[in-house]
Amino acid sequence: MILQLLRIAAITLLGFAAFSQSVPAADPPQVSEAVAYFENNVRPLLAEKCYSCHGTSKQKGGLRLDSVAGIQTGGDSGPVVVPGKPDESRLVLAVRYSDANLKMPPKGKLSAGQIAAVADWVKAGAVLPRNDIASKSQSAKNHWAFQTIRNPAPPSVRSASWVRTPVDAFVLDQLEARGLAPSPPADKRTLLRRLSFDLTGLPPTWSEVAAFTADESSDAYERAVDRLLASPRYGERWGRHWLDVARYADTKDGVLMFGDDRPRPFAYTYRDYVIRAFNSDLPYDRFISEQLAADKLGGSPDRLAAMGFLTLGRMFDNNIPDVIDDRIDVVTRGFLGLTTACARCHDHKYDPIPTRDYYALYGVFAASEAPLVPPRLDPKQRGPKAYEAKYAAAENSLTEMLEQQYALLSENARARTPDYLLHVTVTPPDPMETAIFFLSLAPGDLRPPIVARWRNYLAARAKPNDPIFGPWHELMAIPEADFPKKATAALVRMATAAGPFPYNPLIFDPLLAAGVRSKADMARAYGGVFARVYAESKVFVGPPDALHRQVLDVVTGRDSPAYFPKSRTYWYMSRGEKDAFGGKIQDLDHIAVKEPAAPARALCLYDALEMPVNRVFVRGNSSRPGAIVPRRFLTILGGKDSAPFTHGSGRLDLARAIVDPNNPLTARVIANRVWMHHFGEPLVDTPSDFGVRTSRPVQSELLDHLASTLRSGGWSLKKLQREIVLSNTYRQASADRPDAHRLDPENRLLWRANPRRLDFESMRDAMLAVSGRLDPAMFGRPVDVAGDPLNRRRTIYGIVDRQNLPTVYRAFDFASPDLSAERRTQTTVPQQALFGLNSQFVAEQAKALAARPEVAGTADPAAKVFALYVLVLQRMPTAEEVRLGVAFAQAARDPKSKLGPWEQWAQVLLLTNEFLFLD
Amino acid sequence: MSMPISRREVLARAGTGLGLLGLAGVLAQAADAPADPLAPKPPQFPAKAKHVIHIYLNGGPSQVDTFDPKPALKMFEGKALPKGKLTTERPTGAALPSPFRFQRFGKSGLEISELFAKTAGAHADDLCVIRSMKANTPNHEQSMRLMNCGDERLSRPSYGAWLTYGLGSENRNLPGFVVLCPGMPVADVSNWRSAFLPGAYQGTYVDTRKKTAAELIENARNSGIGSGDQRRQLDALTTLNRKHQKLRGDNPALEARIQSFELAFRMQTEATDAFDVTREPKPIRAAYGETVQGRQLLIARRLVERGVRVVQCYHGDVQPWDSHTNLDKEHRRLAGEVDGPIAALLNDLKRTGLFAETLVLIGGEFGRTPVVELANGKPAMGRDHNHWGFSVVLAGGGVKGGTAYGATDEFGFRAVENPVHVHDLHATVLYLMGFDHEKLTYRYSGRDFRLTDVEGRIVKDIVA
Repeated sequence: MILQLLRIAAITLLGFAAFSQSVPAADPPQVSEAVAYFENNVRPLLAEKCYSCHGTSKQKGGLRLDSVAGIQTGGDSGPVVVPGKPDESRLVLAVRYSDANLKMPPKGKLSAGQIAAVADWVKAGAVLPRNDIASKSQSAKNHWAFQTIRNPAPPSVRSASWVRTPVDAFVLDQLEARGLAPSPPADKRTLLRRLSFDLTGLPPTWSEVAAFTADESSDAYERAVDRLLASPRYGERWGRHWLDVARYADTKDGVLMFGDDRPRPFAYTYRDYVIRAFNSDLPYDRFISEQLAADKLGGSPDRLAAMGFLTLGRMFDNNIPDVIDDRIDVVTRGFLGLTTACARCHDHKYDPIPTRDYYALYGVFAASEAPLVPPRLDPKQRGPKAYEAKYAAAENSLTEMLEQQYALLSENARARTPDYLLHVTVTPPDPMETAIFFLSLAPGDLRPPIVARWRNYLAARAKPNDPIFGPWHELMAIPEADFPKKATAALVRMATAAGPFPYNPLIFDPLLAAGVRSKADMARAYGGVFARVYAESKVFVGPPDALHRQVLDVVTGRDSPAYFPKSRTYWYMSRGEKDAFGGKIQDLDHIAVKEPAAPARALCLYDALEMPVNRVFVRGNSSRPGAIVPRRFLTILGGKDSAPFTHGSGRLDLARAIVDPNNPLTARVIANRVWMHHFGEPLVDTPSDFGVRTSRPVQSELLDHLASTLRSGGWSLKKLQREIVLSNTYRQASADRPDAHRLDPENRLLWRANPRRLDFESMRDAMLAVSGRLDPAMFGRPVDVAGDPLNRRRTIYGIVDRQNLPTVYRAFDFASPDLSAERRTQTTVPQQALFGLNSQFVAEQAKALAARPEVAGTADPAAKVFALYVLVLQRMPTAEEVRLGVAFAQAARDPKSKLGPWEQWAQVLLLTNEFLFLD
Repeated sequence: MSMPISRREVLARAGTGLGLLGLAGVLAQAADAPADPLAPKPPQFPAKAKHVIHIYLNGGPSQVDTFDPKPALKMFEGKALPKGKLTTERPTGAALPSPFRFQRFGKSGLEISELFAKTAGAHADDLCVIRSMKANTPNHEQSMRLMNCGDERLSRPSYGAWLTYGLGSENRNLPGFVVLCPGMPVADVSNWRSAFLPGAYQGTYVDTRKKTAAELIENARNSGIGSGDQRRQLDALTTLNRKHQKLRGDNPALEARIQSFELAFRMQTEATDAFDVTREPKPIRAAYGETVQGRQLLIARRLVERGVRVVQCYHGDVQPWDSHTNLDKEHRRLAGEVDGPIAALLNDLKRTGLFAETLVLIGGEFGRTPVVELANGKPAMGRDHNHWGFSVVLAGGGVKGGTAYGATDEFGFRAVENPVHVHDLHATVLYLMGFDHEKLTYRYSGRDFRLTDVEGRIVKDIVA
């Protein structure tokens, strides 16, 4: 079938070939089918198996398979593809392993299916896209997720009476199309448990269940929904979901020279911001904008805390390109469902994201800097006097050191221009000088980044006729051995050449006079001029003349290799100062972390004082700056001539582009996340990757409906959730139905509710809630929930130590705080059971449960069982369960047990699957 | 995905060494394979080794003082190396010959210094020394992460996590990947993280400064409930869970959790047993030595014997082998702590028949310079970090014993002959464990990630 299609396409293509010059129309459909076959079946194979030797880094046999031109041209042995003739195509012969001398890939034969894919494609004419970029964006333009979100009309369905909200129409339409009926509604207790856990992460109380069950009024459920949406507990649940995306942690990771203590004392302000944002139903577009650019939006200063989204990631040993990469990743996967970070070193293999786009965003974050000392959230608030004094002293000491070091080091960088020039002239580039940003430097050492910049600077400036470095260019062309003989002659020739004299005499005359006999001499002669002119500039009053200006610019200009902004001083310090400076930052953090009443500060970003020139890093290597790219949005979303950002760093422009009504991704991505947390399964399986390899979801119309609802509802998440949970789809029972199961075992069609397991936070919080010990206090500094079994706060307030995540968090699949998490894995390991059986935390809840007046207040064993069931599971026990409980408690107890029989029984109930799973 | 094992085989195994452990694992596996991330899985092709014990000499042992003899250094003692120095972390000076004596050991005549005389004396013909290792950076944090996770800075899973992801655990009463260290090495948990792989694959860290088995594992014992009562709790729990399950038979997660409680109950004994070296006969304990290193390596053998896939034994807190000064004394002390236990471990693995299926890896995150480090311009009688060239030692599981592979230059500074990058070592370890490093992948963030990223060459020459 495919082969047939391809043949048609090939024939059509031949027919079109004659017009292809003059008719730049879109490809006919058959051709795009053929191209799609290549894109889907052949190119990924080439990428996986061939690019490593026939791609950007290596071109073995002179062959490149990573571009259309490369495939068409072939390699050293000629063409590799003969359209229509697989048996004559070297590519096919190679993958077939039929020729002993030509077996590719050498590391292992492709599968039969893969070989057939290549052969079929060749046989059908080896149709290739017209050119790569066009094809990528062409096929990308057809990708479902990049299509404008239309607001699809709810389909009409046969069982119209089942439709309560539009969600139901979309779901039922699909079910009916396959001859399935939805499941009956869940019973009221089940429904309220589901709803409570979904919206607040906590179980309902027995009295809530009892009242709801008894309430026959038609709006009973709706009122429960509204009550739970309005509960402050709601933000603690949904905020936590967002913190997974935001890779939230309360600590840095192992930062060089910073020792083992790594608090981020004010990280919690971001967590609290998120909880408040959800509770107040902050419109999602505003939520995005504040997280990217609260500093630009006005409003109350406490909003600055929102930018923790950008700043709370790992520190990557202070390597700035990695820090920025992390920010690009969290922004693009988090908001847009695009894996932009894949384009750091090369164009994205699958998605239409060229490296240029990555660096367009890179520029935004390179032009944004965290202030040395974070600003107060409330500018007027003051902590205890002694604390404020101590903090201010530490702050001053830090700032002073920065000022002093910047003055010293930037002066050194300029004054030592002769040393740098000599060094780069007489030594070959050393990979260490550019790849390493943390070598221990002695005060007298040349600074590796400055050395690297000098090399790049000279490579760019030493060109014929450059007024300063033209002579350098000419002289460097002379082999070292010939230098004594030829150098001066060359200079004389330059001096006497016809036409206007292109060189700056301040440089040229001393160079000629020096009688240079080696390249080192030449560098010294240059260095002498720079040193003299720079020294003079500091004593002469008044502006220099044009010739002096030209020389001076090399040393002091913005483009000078000696230039670095003050905010980057740390990377130029000597080891001793670097340690001391790191120590001062640590001091500041320690002072703050030790004072419970320390006024909150925001881990925000501001625009850099000086906007850096933004360039691509060739192959991701920050010491190989390439073409200049403006700060702007992604081409696939912003259009081909995506306009450069105009507001400073461009963070606000970026936020606007993300929330732009024409952006097809933002609303879809968040709607999918919301759906996932209500149904246990998302509509799109990879919630942070909506790229071209993510196929259209079965429920794409539903997704578009949700996305449009969100936007037309003023980006209110609560309104969206209200529509979802009010639907009959949501209210279905979760019981299995063999007929439906056979047809749709994964429940893609939503013929029932998915049974679900509580995550770590819900489990722990629910245990505290039913034992009556949950401390409802909100916000503030993190507490030790993993290490302190007596802690009663909700789990979201527990400290997240990124580098030493507690075992219990890991055992229960807590999201890694090192990376933006799209969803949590769900594993069942015995360590979870060990926590249930043996941890002091669970024992504490069991004891508290048994001590609750409802239990302890009665002497009747059956009444105790009854009370425990009602408290833990919000239902009455069956007669059999009462017998079981009473028998358990009355059986002889182990003399080694410190927990009483009822405490032990309470623990059993806390460990039941009924407690941990939601129907 | 699950390994097809018949009931007969299970019983046969139950009667032999594996005993109840195997049985428990298999029974649980039959019921809930999809929900259990540690269910045993076969490798991609028949493996040479089933376990790894990594004796991690953290801090960076000096190759020219241990496994890479460089007599030429003597000729330049106190003088600059003729070809100059390579950039390392700190200023360095003149050539510093090794203060230790090298000698040929075994039939193979492998040259090793007196620092590892016990290991070499008894096992030289089983050792495969790679003398041409190289890394990227002369700094601990980055090199530790590179050695463990294949990347210096980004959040990537450790090789132990990758192997556990690929193989599961043979013994589900124990984690698949265990990390032993008296204290915490540089870069902490990032050394054994699972990153984007599920948390179950992360290394389980055990602080071997603690001595008793019960102290070593979190929640391994219940201090408030006697075991009789706990058994009754478990029986009641199972009764309630079975009843609950009746109406929800299609949900495998319920069965998985029921099983996990039974596993956990047994694990309380099993796991503490594994860490309880007092159960070993006296002569065995004496051979390892009753020291932290001896205890660690003995625990490693007990774990491997029970089916744990990867055991890392870090020498100590922070970076003990980081001899910037006073190397003569420091290296002698450190080697003295670990040489005897390594010899005992190799002996013991051979005695128990585990040697052939266990890959033992000995080495640090990088080596040290053949030139002296300068402190304030003066020789500090130690060596700086050196990622340009260093040695690691392999033994057991499918490697050619009695061989040296690759070479550094005549002074031991830079790997020049058959260089083996850390990525290549990873590719080789995966190969020995039955995996093609290019095919052990995990889809995350739109990409198929692997341990070796876009690098890695299998060093086939060292494979037996």
